[in-house]
Amino acid sequence: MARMHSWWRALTRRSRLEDEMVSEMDGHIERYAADLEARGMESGEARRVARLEFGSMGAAAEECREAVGLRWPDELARDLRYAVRVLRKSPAFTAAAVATLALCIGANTVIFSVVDAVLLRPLPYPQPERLFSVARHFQGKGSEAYQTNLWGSVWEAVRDNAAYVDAAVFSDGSMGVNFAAGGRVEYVKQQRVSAGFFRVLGITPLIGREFSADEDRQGGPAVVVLSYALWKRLFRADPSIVGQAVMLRGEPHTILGVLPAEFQSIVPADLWTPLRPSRSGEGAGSNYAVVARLRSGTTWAQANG
Amino acid sequence: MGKQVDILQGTLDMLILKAVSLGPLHGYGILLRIQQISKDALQIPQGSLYPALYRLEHRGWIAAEWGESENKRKAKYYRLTAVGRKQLKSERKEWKRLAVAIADVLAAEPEEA
Repeated sequence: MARMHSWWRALTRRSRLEDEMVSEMDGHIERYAADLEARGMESGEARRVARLEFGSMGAAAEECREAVGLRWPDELARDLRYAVRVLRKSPAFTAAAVATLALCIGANTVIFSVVDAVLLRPLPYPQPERLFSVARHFQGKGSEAYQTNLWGSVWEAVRDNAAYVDAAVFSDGSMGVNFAAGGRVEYVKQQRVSAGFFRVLGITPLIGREFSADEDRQGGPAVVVLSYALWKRLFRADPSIVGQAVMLRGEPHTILGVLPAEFQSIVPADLWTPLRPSRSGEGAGSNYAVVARLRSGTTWAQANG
Repeated sequence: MGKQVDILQGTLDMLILKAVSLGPLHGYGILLRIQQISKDALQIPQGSLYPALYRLEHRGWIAAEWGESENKRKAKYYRLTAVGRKQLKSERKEWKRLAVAIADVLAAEPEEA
């Protein structure tokens, strides 16, 4: 402890240390010279002898610095100064080296950010290890691809045949719509998801409920689920709004529920409406994405069988 | 002035600790005190005194403080710390053991056949 303290003091109050060292040794030589003079030596001669017998003040000072642990910081500083001088002499080399380092560090940072978000951080949903998305696997001559954009018939096949998984389908994007409630109009983002979508993700609405199968079919009642942020902003977190009517794209919709504040949407969205998947229309093209959760008590081996 | 003896390697620290254990001293004062007590037999190389002082201060065995000296000049005074006192005690013990051992060796008589 004493050494750390002494070393740190020496390092941070360097000029004071140097001044003290010089004045201490000077004082020593002067006292010795005065003593020699008192013994009858001539003043100038006394000074000369005192200096001579003390020896090199520079060498003594260097040994003192070493004694308090200043040798390696001194040498490090010297090496750094030398490095700077050499780099300054060859600016082209320096620029190339700095550019190389910058590129490497930049590329690594980008790659790590992606790996961190995609691989290291778990999905923001409960039991993320049991969640998966459904993809079509294409295999051609020497090429291979996975496509997560599916059409209505594929979704129906998953829904009807995969007994071990709880699946939901959604539109993999959001669109801007006009939202009117209580005399206020706002442009918000809407995403369409099927019944059970939030259940599959493991999210329970804060108030109200999510879509039922009855609402998620062609011609079903017009309903909407709100995000926590929208609910807070437009309804001042009023818990009695469930069942109220709001205008969405000029059509009346009934509020079914509000999602919890911590819910993180897959795509940016302020509210959700039923997807009402079909085989025709948009369902004839690859406009759907399927998310599924392994049912509790089942294993991946069973689901794959 | 009597005959001078070179001080043994490693004994300078002990001598300094002993000198300042008798009361705070500046560097030159330490030199004088050691010479005076040893009746000028021990001569400390002046250049190696300060590195030793800085080393001992760094280890926390002595502490330094700037004060005014006899002729109204500023001087750095060293005094023994509690840790230093302990260190001096153990060094003295070691030294005694060494001195006894060397004396024993030198006093050995040739064995009778």
